[in-house]
Amino acid sequence: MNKLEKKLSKLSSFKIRKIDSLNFIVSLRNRQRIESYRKKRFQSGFRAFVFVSLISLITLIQLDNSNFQYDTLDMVSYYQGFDNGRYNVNDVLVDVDEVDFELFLIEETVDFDLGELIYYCSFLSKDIEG
Amino acid sequence: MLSNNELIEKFQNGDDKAFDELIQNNLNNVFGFFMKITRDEMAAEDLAQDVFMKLYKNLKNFRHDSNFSTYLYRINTNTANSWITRNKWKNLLHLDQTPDRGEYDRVNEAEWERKELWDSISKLPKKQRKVVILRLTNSLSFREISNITGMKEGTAKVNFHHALKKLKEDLIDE
Repeated sequence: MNKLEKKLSKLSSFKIRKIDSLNFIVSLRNRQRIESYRKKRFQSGFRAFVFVSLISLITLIQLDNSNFQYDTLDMVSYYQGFDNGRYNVNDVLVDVDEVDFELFLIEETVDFDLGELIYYCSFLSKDIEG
Repeated sequence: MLSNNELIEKFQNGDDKAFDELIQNNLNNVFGFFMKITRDEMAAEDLAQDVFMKLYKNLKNFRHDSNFSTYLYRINTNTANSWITRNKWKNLLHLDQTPDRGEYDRVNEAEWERKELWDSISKLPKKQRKVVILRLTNSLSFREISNITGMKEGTAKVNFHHALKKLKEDLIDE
């Protein structure tokens, strides 16, 4: 050992009292218990996190696959729409074009004769005006 | 009284009490090792607990390839190294400020020098620090240091030489 080494060695050497091993073991066991409790708590927390993430992921995937969106108003029937004021008879009739209506009747009911058609059309235009 | 190796075998066969005996056999060595570094009983006891916690976790896999004392020294050195690194950051962040030398009386002179020495040791590279810790705290030979650290005897000597040079410069500068 050289001079500096001896000096450094001297700095870190001194009389050390003996430690009570029984107390040390008790506190070590306590620490082990606390650490194992912490570990278990972390593991259960992690498992819960994974579970919630998995459920969220599955839900997101399911939502992603649907190519339409629900509108609660669409769930109301056409007739209920008139009751709750969503639809107005005049509005609906104004929206219908006379020519379209005629074409619709021709397509839907082949048995209509021209007389009946004129009758319905005049009836319709009266309803709009009146 | 059973030897360390016999106690380890008993512990590996499931006898938890054997570990308590192993602690009793080695506690003063481990505690003394950390007292020399920290000179603080609380810190030394905490570090000794860290060592025995690590030992408890890893002893089941101990294969007697190396001597138990060498194995224990390795854990001690690594724990001390982590403590020194932790303290280095604490000092850098001024969480543990050292008052000026002028504020110290003669009784605290040695304590101040010791703190200064370990502050300088904390600045050394990891390999050099390991060699210095083992050489200063336990006055181990370079052969023993090489067994513990896994480096060649010559490498340990060179590392120690470089470390001393740096410490000398650092301590004289301050």
